[in-house]
Amino acid sequence: MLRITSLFTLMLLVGCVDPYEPNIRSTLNVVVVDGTITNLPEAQIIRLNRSSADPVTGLPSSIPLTKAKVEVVVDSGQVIAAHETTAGSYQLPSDFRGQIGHAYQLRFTLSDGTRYISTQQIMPPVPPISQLRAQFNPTSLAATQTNGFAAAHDIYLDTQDPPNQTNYYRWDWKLWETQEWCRSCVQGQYSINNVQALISGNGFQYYQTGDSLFEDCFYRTNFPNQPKLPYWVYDYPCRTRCWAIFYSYQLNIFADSYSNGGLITNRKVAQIPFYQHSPCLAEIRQSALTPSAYGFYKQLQDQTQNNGGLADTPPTASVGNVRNVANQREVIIGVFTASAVATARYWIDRKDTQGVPPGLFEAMMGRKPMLEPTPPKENPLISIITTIDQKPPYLAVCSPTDSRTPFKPVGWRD
Amino acid sequence: MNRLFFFILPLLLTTVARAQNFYTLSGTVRDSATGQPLVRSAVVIDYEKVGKGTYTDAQGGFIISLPAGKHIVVVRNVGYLTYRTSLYLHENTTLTVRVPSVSSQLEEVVVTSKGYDRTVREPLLGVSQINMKTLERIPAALGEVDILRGLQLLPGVTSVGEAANGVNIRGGTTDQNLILMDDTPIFNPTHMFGLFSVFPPDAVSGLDLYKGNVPARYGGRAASVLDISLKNPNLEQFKPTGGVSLVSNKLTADIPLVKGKLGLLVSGRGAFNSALLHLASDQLSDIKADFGDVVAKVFWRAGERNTVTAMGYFSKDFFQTNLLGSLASINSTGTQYRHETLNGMVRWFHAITPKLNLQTTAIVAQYVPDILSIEAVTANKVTLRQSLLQRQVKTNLNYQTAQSKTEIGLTATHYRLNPGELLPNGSVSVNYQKTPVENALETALYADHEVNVSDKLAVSAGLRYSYFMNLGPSVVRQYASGEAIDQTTVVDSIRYGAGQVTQHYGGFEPRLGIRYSVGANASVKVGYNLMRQYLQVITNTTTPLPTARWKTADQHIQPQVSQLVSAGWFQNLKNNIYEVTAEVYWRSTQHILDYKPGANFLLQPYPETQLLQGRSKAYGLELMVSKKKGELTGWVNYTYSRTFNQVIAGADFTQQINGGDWYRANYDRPHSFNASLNINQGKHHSFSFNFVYSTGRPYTAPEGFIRYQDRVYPYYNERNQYRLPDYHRLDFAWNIYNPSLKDRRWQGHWTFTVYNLYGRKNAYSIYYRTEGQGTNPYRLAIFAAPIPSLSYNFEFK
Repeated sequence: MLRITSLFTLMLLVGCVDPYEPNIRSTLNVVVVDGTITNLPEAQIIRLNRSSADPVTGLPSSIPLTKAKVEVVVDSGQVIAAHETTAGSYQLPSDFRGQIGHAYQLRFTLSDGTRYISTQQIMPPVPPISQLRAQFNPTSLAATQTNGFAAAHDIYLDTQDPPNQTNYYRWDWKLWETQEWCRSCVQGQYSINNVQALISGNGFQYYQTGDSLFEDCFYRTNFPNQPKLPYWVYDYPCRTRCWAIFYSYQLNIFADSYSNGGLITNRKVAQIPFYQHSPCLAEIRQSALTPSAYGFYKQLQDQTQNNGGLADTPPTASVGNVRNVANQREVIIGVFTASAVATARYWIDRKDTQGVPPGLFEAMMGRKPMLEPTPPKENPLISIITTIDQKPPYLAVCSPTDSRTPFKPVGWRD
Repeated sequence: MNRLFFFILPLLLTTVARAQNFYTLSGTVRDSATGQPLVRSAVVIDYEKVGKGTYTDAQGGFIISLPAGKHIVVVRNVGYLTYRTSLYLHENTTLTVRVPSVSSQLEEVVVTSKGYDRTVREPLLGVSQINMKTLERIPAALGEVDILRGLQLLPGVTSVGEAANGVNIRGGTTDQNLILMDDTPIFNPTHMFGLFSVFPPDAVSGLDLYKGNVPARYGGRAASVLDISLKNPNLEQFKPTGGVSLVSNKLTADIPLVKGKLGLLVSGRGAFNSALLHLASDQLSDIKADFGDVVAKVFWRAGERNTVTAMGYFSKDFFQTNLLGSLASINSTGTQYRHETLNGMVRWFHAITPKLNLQTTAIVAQYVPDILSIEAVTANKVTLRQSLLQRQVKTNLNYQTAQSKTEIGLTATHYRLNPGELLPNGSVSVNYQKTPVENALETALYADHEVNVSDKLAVSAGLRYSYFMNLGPSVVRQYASGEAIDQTTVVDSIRYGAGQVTQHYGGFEPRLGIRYSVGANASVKVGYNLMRQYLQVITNTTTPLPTARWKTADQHIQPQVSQLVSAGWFQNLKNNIYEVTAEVYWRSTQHILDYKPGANFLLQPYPETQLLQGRSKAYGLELMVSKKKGELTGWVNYTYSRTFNQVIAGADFTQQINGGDWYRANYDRPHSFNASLNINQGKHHSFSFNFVYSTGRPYTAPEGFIRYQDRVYPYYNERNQYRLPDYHRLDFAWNIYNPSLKDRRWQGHWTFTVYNLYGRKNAYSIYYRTEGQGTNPYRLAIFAAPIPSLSYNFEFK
C-alpha cells in the first residue's frame, strides 16, 4: 500500500505591512468645503479652507478661507447669511436649524470674488436609535495606534430602517471622561496671578506675582545672564470637576440598499478606548445622509479606511457636490449637505473590564504626570516670590474648549 | 573453492592497499554514439585538476598512478556530457568511458518558442510551450508546482504582483486570456486569491501559450490563449504518483480498466493546512484557507478509428481573511469567500482516413463565486452569489499531408450568467435581491490552413467569423443620445422576451503567420491577428477578485476588438544547443473597459452606468536566449513593453479618465528580466535558480493632502501616475531524485526550495490610511521573507 511520510519544515508565509516613506511632491491647491445642516439645536457651521502644498517644500498645509460671503438658500427662496466666528468658520444664526424634507443649498463668494454653489440637498428623515449595547473587547483597537493598549468597549446599535425609502446612515460618537489633570506647562510654571520680572536695588533680577488674574503658564522672560535650565514639564491637577471630550475619527457609513425596511442590528458604531477605570459617558449620533453625501463619504472611506488589502479599488478623485459657478473643471473637495440626526447616550461603568488601562493622562500625553515640586522639600525651577495667600503648586482651572468642559454633561451619573 | 579464493583475494589486496600502495587507473574515453575516441578530455581525480589529473591522448586513452582507496573520477570534454564515477582502487583498473555528445541529447529545456524547429513546421510566432518536467524543477513558492508562476518567467507575461488573480500577456488584461484545460474554459485560474494556480500539476501533460499568432480555432478572448492539456490515462499499467508539500497533499493514479482499451486517470489535490498559517505570523492568525481540485479523465479506444475522451474537473476554494474588504452594505463581522468550478467535456475522435479526421466536442463549464457575510451574534451567512454557465459544442475536420495541414470547424457557445444574487439565508435585515440573468449565444465558423510553400517559406492562414447575440428576456434601458450614460439620462426602456435578440455583433477575425528561413539555422517570421471578445470581466480592483463580475456584450457595452502585429527573428546556435529569439509586437484594442470614480458593480442591474469604454495600445520587444541541452540548461530573457489606455467616452470631463490623455495600465511594467537556470548534477541531483526583475507597477498616489472634518485625507486625482519600487527576487530549488539510488519500482523525489532567497520585501501595494486625525502611508508585501519549504513526491513505476 501507499504510505506517505511527510515532513514539514518551518512555514513562513509572511505577509508584511511596513510604514513607507514616499517621495511625493505635491502642487495641490483646492478649496475644501465642510458643511452639514442638522435638525438639532446646535451651532450650524460651514467651514471653508484651502488645502495646498507649500510651494518650496511640497508639505501639506491648509489655510482657512476668511472674509467669504456665505449664504444658505432654504427651499430655493429664503436666503440666510452666515457670519464668520473664527477664521474660515461661518455660523448660521443661532436660532436657525434645519427641518426634515426641506431643501438647502450653499452658495459662497470668496474674498477674491470667485463664486461657488452646491447642489440642493433635501434633509432626509432619520429613524430613532432603538437600542445601544456595549461590550468590553480586550483586542478591539489596532495596537499600533494606541501604544499597545488595544482594549475598548465596542458599542453596538439597533435601529429600524424605514421601508419604502432609500436611507443612508452615518454614525459618530462623542465621549466624556473624568479629567484630573488640567494643565501642562513646558518650560514654565502655572500661576494664578500674573508674574512680573523685576530688578532689585542691587541689580539682581527676580520674579514676583502681581495683582491681576493670569491662570496660565508663566515662562521666563529674556533676562541677560540667566542660568540655563534643563528641559522640564510640570503638570497641574484640576481645581474643579472637569470632563475631557473625545470624538470619533472614523467614517462609519451604511446604505440600506440590501436591507431596506429591515432591522439594522448589532451595528458596531463606536470603539470607546479603555482609558481608565472610572466610568464614562458616550453619545452616539445617527445621521441620515443624502445620496451625494453618502457617495462622497463612501469613496473617502474606501480610499482611506477600507484599503490595504489584496484587492483594493485604486483611488480616484472624490469630488463632492460644490462647484465653481464660472469654471466647471475646478475640483472642490467636500460636501454641503443636510442631515437629520438622532442621538442617544450610553453610560459605561467599566465594571466589566479586564487588565490595566493606561490612565487618561498617560493615554493622551504618552508619559506620567509630573507635579511641580512643593517647597521647602524641593524648589521649582523658576523661583517666583508669591505675594498672594494661595501658595504654589496650584491647581489649574478647567476652561471649556472643544476637548473639555467643566459643566457636567447630561446623562452623567455620580 | 575457486569462488572462495576470489572472495578472499580482494580482501588481502585491500589490506595491502592500506599500506599506501599505488595502482594504475587507465582507460579510454569515446563518443557513446560513434565510438570515436575523444582527444584531450580532462580526467580529474578527487576534484584536483592539478597534480592528480591528466588528459586523454590521441587514442582517447589515459593512465594515472593513484594510491589505493576511494577516488572520484570526473571526465570532461567540451560538447559532451560530463562523466562522473567513484571507485575503490585496490588493483590496477581499466575504465571504459562512453559519453554522449550534448547535441545528440534530447532537449532538456522544453520551453521553446517554436521559433525554429525542424520537427515542428508551424509558421507561428509568439508561441511558447512549457513541459511539466521543466516546471517541476523551477523553484516554486511553498513547493507548489505552479503553471501561472512558471509562465511569468517567459517574456511578455507579467502580473500585478504575487497575489494576482491571473497574468497579463502582452499588454492584455487578465480576462483577455482564454485559459482552456482540455478544451474547457477556466474563469478563475487561481486558488487562495492568486497564490496558487488551479491546474492539478500531476495531471497536466503540457501547455501551449499563444501570445502572438493564435490559430483560428481559438476565439472569444482578445489577447492570448493558454491551452493546457491533461494527460491521457495509461492504458497498460496501474501507476500511482503523489506528493506532500507544505501547502497541499496530492495523489494521481492511472488506472487501466480494460487493458489497451479503456483507462481512467484520477488526480486530486487538497490543501487543508491553513491551521499552519497561525504559527507563522499574527497577521495571518485570522486567515482560514482550504482549497482542493480533482480531475478525472477517461479514455476509450473504441476500435481502430474511434476514440472517446471524457473529462471532469472540480475545484473549490474557501477563504477567510482580513486582507480583503467586506461588502459595504451588509452589516457583518467577517467575510468569507467560496469559489467553485465544475467543468466537463466529452470528445469523440473519428479517423475517416489516416489523413482525415473529425473531432466533435461537447463542453460544460460552471463557475460560482460566493461572498459570505457573517452577521454578528447570529453568525448567519448572507450570501452574494454569482454564477456563469457556459455550454459549448464544437466540431472540426482535420486534413494533413506532408506539406500542409487544414482544419475547418464550427462552434456554438451559450452563456448563462447570473451577475449577482443576494441570499439572506434567514437574516432579519437583508432582503433577497437578484440582478437580471444574462443569456447570450456566440457562434463561429473557421478555417485554418498551414502550408510549406517552399523549403524556405511556410504560411499559416486562418479566418474565423464570429457572431454574437445577446438574448432576452431582459429590459434594456435607452439613454439620451450624446449624453453621459447614467441614472439621470434614461429616456426609455425596452422589454425583450425570452430568446429575443437584444443586440448582435459579429465580424471576421483574420489570422496570418509567415515563416521565411534564412539559412539553415535561422528564420524570420511575421504575424497578424484580429480577435473579438464578447464576454469580459468588469472590475474596479487591482486584481479582479473578489468583487469582479463577468459581463456579456450588450447594447451599451461593446465587444473588445484587438489587433496584433508581430515580427521575430529566430536563430539556432551550436547544433540546436542554444536558441536566440527576438520578437516585437504592437497591439491595439478597441472598447476596453474602465470604471467611473466610485463605481460599484455589485448587484448593479445597469453596469453601463458605472463604466466607460476606451481604447488601449501596447507594444514591446522580447529577447530570449535559451540553452536547451547539457548539464546547465535554462533561459534568460529581457522584455521591454508598454501598455497605455485612453478613455474619452464623451465631451464632458466626467466621461474621461485623466482628462482624456493616454494613461498607463495598472500592469504596465516597462522592463522585465527573467533568468531560470537548472544545473543537473548526475541523475540524482539538480539545482535550479530563478532570478526575476521588473519595474514596479503603476499606482495612484495622492497629489496632496486636504484637511476635512478635523482629519487629514489624501487627495487623489490622476490615475496611475506613480510606480511601486522595482520588483526583484531570487529563488532556489534543490531536487533530489531517488535518494536510495536503487532501481526500485517505488521512487521518491525530494524538493527543497527557498522562495525569495534574499528576503526582499517586494511591494504589492502602497496605500494611505487615515488613522486618528492623520494619514499614514504603508507598503504591503506578500512574501516578505525567504520562504523555505520541502516537498516530497513519489512515483510508482
